Amino acid sequence: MFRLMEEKLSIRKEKLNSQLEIIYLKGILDAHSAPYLESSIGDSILSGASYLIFNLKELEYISSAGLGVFMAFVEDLRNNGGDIKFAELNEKIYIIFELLGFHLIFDILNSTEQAIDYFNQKKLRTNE
Amino acid sequence: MKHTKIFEPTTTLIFFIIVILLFFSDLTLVLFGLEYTIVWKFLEYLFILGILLLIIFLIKKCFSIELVSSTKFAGTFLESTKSLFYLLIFYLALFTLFSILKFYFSSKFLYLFEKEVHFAFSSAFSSFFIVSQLCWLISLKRKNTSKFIIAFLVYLLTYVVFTIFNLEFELFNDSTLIDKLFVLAGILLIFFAFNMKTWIAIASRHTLKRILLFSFLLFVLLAIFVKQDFRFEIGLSYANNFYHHFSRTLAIIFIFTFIRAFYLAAISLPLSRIVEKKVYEVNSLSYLSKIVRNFTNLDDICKVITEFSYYSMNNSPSWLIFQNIGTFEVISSYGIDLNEYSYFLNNFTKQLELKEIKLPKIINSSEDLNYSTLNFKSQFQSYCIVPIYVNEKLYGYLVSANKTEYFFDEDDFNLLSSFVEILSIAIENSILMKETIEKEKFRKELMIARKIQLSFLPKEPPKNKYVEIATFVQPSEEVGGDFYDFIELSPDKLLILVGDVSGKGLGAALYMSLLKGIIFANSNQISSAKDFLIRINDSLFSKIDKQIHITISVLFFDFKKQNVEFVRAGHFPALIKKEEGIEALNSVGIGISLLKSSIFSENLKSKEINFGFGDYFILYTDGLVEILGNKNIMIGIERLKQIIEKEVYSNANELKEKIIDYINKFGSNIDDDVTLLVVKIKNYSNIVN
Repeated sequence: MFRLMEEKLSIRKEKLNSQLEIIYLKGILDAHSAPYLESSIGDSILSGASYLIFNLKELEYISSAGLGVFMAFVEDLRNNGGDIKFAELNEKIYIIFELLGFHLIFDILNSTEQAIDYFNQKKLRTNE
Repeated sequence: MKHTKIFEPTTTLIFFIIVILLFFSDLTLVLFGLEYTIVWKFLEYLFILGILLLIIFLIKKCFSIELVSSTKFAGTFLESTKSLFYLLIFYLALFTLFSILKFYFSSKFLYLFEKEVHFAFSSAFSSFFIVSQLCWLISLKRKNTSKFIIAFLVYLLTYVVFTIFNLEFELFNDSTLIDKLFVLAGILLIFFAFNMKTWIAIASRHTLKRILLFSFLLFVLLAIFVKQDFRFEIGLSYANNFYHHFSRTLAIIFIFTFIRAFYLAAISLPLSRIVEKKVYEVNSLSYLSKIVRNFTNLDDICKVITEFSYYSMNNSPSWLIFQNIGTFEVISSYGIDLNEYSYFLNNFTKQLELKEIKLPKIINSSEDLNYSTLNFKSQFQSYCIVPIYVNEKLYGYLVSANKTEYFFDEDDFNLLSSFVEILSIAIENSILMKETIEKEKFRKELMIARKIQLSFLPKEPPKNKYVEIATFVQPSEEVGGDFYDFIELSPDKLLILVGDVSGKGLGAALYMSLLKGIIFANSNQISSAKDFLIRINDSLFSKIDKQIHITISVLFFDFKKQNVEFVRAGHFPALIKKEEGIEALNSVGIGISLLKSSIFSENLKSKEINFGFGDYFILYTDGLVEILGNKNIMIGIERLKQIIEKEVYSNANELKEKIIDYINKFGSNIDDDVTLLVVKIKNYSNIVN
């Protein structure tokens, strides 16, 4: 089964201000589509965004390699005063996050608005 | 040419024997003034039989004949007319001899003899006609052939049937009816006979000239034959005999045929140069596509292309320039010597490089050369330059040059462009070929890596009096990131570990090797499963790529105490099947190498479970539960639980087989490494006590 990367995983970005960006993921995030997301996040960070909110409402599946993409960026972001937050996870995705212990590493919030509030109040996690 | 093979010695011999028999029987009859009796009838039948046999023989043959292409057909035509030509020349020679003889000795005997020779010749001629005509037809095998074959068979059948009836019942003493039928069939034959336009028009100049000559000579010879035939008809005693009717109509058909061939060849001759060129172009294009398809060596294709462009451009020297690591180089040429003209060619190539010609270009005069485009002096006045693009990148040029001004036109330019199209396909193919070879090399390396990796996994589970263990591993690519291990700390203590390095393939496999080393280094000082994982995290954290993390589940059995410590670092929960039911061992724990050990250990909780005899423990990696079935549904933990609950099994291996059967049926598209471990607690109470 061959699907184009864009078809497998669609990434939509919404820039709220120079620092804050909401990224909507839709489809399947696995070892194949992970590099595509990686370059996309890289672009966002290059353009100055340091607060990233991932809305995973429409994400169907995430594999451990997919989760690895967030790990690749979070350390540098946190060192520079930024962070990654997740919002609107469906049950299936949340179970995977929980399994791997990602709920202990990241803030997982019920809505995008709540995540924006967290950033506005500078509720950030650090590497410590 | 297969066509000419039809005139095999045996065929030829058969009808020559028949002809000779007829000739001598006729001769004896005439000489001794005998009546036409049984002997004659017998020979007559023999002749008819001979013809029928020939027809059958030929029809049988035609199914094994290859189609002769239009371009080659002119050759076969000439080949078959040649035999007719010799036959007629022989006939002419005989009659010249008779004329000379008659000039000196006038006798009735000589006249009769001459007549008999003529009729014998008629027979030979008719037989020949049947053979050659059928051969033509069959090798033509195109438009109108079937109509023509029907007309021809009707023609032959009338001949055969009427001959028999004539002899038996003497119903047709008057030959006019048969004559009419013959004329009708003959007209039909002429009408359908030769669709000569298709092959005469495209015949080569040389062939056309020969067709002109042969058809003219044959026309003259046949005219003599027909004239003779009419002469001998007067006073013919057996008017209802068919030879003369038959052969005469045939001869007339041949005359028409040759007139047509002569006419067509005559009008095609002036155009033949252009036609020859076009035929050459078409043939060379098809030849080129053929060799490109067969993955012939690129150098050979380059040679053939320069050669073809040399000849199709009326002997214009042609050469190919390829870009090689930034510089352009002449790599193949035809009609111009690379060494002798190296100065010119280098100069030319440099000019091309400077001007960056992107589109095909015709340079038609020296003025053109000096002012608008390339600027240098040379022996050539016109150039046709076609750039070669491979994967949308400029790869080189095909250049054809001529000493005449305004030599190249749009057609030439289009033809060279088609050559270049084919060449670029060949280049693409050769690039692909190289890549495939590289990939194949890499695949072999991977196979070695896989062998090494498999050697890291325990060859077989430990033979233990307390447990029986069944294992299954299936990497998705050549190498994978799944692993498992057994550590026997003491006869009563066994640690079983299943892990998964995120991602798959070579990267994951390399980290797996690293992990194997770390496990090995830590394996002789394990106090608890939790402690063991913390130490592994310590060793790995901040050492491996941030994107990569490792999940591990550990079962640490103490068989004396009948309990097991379970820890899970981000791994899927293990399953335990007791008599009461199945439970997922879901404790808290983060994947390894994600966080530093203080946070890691804070969040790692171990679980102590007491087990009984006959309990099963099932360990697996995410690849197993994430197998996709129809409509992208995953197997999931719940389904796995159901199988373990429903199926009937009595040992670890049976349960393993049941699960594997199920997953193989569930999803054909397995995308990740799959690992499964089944552990069964044996009844060891009497051993312990």
